[in-house]
Amino acid sequence: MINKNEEYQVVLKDVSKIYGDDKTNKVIALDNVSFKIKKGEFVVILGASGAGKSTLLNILGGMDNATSGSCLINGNDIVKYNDKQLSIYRRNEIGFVFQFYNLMSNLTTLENVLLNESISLNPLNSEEVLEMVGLKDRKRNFPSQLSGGEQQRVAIARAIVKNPTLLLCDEPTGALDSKTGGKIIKLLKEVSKKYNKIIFIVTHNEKIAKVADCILHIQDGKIIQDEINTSPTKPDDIVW
Amino acid sequence: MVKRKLSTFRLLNRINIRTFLHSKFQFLAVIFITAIALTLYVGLTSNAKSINDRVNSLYQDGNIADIWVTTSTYDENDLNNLKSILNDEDEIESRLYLPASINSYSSNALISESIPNINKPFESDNIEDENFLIVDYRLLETQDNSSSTIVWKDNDGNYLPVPVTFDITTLIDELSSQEIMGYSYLDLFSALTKENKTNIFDNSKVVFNFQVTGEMHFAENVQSSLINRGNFLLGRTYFINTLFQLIDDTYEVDRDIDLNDPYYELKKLLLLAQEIYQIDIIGEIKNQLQSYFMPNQYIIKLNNNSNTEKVVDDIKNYYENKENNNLLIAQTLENQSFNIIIQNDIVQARQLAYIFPIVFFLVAILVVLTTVSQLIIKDQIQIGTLKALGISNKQIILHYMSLATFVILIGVVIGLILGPIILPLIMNQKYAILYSLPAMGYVISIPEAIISTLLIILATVVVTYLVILKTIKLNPANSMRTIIPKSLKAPKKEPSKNPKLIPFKMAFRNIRINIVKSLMVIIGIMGCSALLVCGFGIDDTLTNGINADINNFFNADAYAFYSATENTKEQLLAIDGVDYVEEYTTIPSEITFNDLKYTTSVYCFDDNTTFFDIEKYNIKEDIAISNKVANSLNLSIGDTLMFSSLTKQNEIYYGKVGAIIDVFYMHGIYINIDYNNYSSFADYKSNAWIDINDNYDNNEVINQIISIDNVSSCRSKQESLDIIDNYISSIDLMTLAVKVFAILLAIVVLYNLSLLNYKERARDIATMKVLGFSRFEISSSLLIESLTLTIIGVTLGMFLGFPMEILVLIVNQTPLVEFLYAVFPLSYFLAIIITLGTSLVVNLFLTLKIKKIKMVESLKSIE
Repeated sequence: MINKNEEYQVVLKDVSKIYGDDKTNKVIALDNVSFKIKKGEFVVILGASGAGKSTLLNILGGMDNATSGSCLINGNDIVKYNDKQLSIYRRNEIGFVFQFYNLMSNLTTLENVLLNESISLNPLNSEEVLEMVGLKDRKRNFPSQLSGGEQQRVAIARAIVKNPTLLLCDEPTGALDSKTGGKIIKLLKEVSKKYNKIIFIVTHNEKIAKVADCILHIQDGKIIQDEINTSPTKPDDIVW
Repeated sequence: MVKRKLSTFRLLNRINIRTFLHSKFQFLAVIFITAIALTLYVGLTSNAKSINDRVNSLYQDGNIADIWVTTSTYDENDLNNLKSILNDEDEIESRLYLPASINSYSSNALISESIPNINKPFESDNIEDENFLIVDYRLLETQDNSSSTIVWKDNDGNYLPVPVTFDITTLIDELSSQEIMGYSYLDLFSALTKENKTNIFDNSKVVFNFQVTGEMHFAENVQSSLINRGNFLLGRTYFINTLFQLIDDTYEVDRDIDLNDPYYELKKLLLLAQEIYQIDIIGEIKNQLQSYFMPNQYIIKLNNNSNTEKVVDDIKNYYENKENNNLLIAQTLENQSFNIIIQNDIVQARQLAYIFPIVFFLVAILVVLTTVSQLIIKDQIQIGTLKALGISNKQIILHYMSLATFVILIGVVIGLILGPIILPLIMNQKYAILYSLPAMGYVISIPEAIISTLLIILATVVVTYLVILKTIKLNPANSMRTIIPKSLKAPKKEPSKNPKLIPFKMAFRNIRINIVKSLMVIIGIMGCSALLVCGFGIDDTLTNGINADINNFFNADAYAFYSATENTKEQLLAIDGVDYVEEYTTIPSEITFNDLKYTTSVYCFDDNTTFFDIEKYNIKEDIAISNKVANSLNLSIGDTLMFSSLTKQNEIYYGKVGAIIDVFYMHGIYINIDYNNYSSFADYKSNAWIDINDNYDNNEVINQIISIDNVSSCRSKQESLDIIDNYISSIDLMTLAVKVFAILLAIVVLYNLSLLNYKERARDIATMKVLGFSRFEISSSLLIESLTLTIIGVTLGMFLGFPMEILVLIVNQTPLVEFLYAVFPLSYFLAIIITLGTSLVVNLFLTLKIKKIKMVESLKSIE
């Protein structure tokens, strides 16, 4: 355990991800990335396409392993995890919100949330979570009967029902119109506050960055700016 | 202007090739099922053509006759008169047809002056002109594992003499009715018998030792059975000379007559006739006997222009107009039982091609349908893009049609190559046992090959067109939009919140949404389990039949077959180890009912029989018949049939059917010779059931039994069962093939479904992996879906299996056995277990694919 970082739930130090072996094929996706995040912080990872945002999210989410460096989540270095440990880590610690929602098309709204509840160690109540995201009345509907914004709300409910340590959102508004996207960001902000969870949002939309407590600017695999936003804008105050 | 380097067609073809290579495992199912369907259909039709060709070749090589005219007596004018009916180009030959047996095997002697040209032997060797005995190669083969194997050649390959037995009952009857000097001919022979010799006419059978001079293939021997092993050719001169030699060895005019001799007066007269009147008594006898062995059959080969039916009518008219109509029967090749049986098999071989392959063709089309549907759904955006680029609908449709056709053609080519090789080889296992035919070559039924290829391509093209039609009608903008998955209506009732039920819900909803795909799997599994029930059921039917025969006929330790003599039973009982002997006899007979005729065995038991259950079947005044006889002659209980021994057709007997017995192999009619004067029908007994003491070695006792002079063979119970097993081994092979194809079908269908599921849900699977679900949790809903469809298919298959079994066995009906249809519960159980097991194994195998699905798939957009 690294006690000196105990106030930080997420600590990345010199994390690199290199694809390819030889010099000609070598691609450095992440280059000595380091940052620390406290519990309950709303973090936006901002960068252009190909900057390394998704690679960073994959490593945080235990979907990929770093080539070097350390990634401490609650003091445990997930870089040293094997596939099985990563699977358990994803199961217990991570809530994931996808750009294209990725709901199970054959399950109703409630069942999609229940699905995640079923594998969690300490889950929240699915119906309460659905109520929280404003979809109590749509719980019997299948995903195809919902709008994009509603589907993303289900995805958020599905992610938080696990009561995870981290909520990772990959371009959560990317497939939505700007107004709906704003509502989703507002919801995520409320979730962060209500459940005191760290939320990472990967986006290239700078407007979202305004609501964040912490903004990580990433470019060519490096954190070029680690910005603490002491007075985040309320989502309702932003013109989406 | 820039010269175009590649046409649109060629570029689209490149897409096709890459799509094929990329999705080869998905297409593998299409290729595989098409190959199976074509293998079966073209293979079976080629088999039918092959057997037909072989029969035609046999008939051609053997110069088979068109007409057989059989007479009851010889008339020296018949041959010339028959010739006058025929055209100049037509051929006619005469021969003497005599039922006989070589060693213990029933056969027919065809006795002629010279080697015949019609129904001629071919591929024969060592043939001499007059003194010939030519036997079928097949007759020389070891027919079974019994101890009665005939030894024909010595170690140096030289032919050995063989005993040929003729039934002379009719001759004895004739001789007893003729008189000379107030004495019957039979008395004459008794008076002439040398001291220490046995009068030939004291027995109903006479045995000659002939030297085999050659082997042959013979067209009339095309069909053989365990009852009758076909015909052999015997030179008349050789036959007569051997007969005369036997006469010389057996008879003489006694010069030293004892006063106490019962034939004293007759012997004195004979001596007087020979000495005083110089009459060659023995010579006269020879002449008399020679006249008895005159031709009784004419075989006719017509030229191509003659009308067979008309010639037969003319022949019948000729005999009907004679003063003494001596015609027994005039038959064409079409009426000959050997030809009817093999022609039936050819028809059955053709019919078989339309049973199994249909299932596989249907499944093949369904597999094509689902695979192409999946491809089109996956390519919807590409289709929109191609349209947006200006490529015509026709080009796009052709693009997908050519891809589907290309895949199908691979399967077709495999099927066309393998079918005509594999299927005739399998089916020949049966034909080799039943028929004597020329060697098999590679035969392909080209019309069926072309038609089936065209049909499956047409079906593929139509299916592809129908599938693509909806997508191609969309404008490019709509086509390029994200595909919204099909969905179900929101449930009206509050669904269960039990998370454990979620995999079940996912599975059942997926079945409902993809109903066509689900139906395909159900049909495929139904076909698989039905085929398995059918395969196992055929085994059960055979076992059922054998058990029935064991209960009725094979309860003794051994069975002996011998030439009828008075004291055989006593000789048998004298052997150490023989506890009990019970005699019976079987007589090849013709049964007639309502103008229908049927040739089979009449089993003659007496009232004291313990092995055959006389009481159970109540065989006293009435008779019992086997199910096969009942079916063949449309007989029911209470009907009265007519029967006569093949050797004494003028003696007619009647029997009222009291019972119809389920018999597999030992079919015939069963009579109690202690009733209804049937004892005169069976005037001798030539078979015996033997019980051997447990303290003795069965084989040793059987060897002692065989060493008795007139015992031709003796088999143990196991050997008898082995003979049946040997006969049905061809069916065993067929059932094995059915089971293998059933499992292949299940693998293809389930593999195709599961692969489609995994591909369709790659994104869902990746998402679930990201969410931390284990491989088992991820695969559970897929497994449930697959198993659910399997269970539905298996249940339906259970109902289909038995009718399919009956259909297959009806098509494979042979004259030797009557199937007692059955499916034992164990077979249903095995069919269920194998199908479920196959489903489980295929799914578990595909579960491994979950590991290969990358989690980053979840981050991609739906397209």
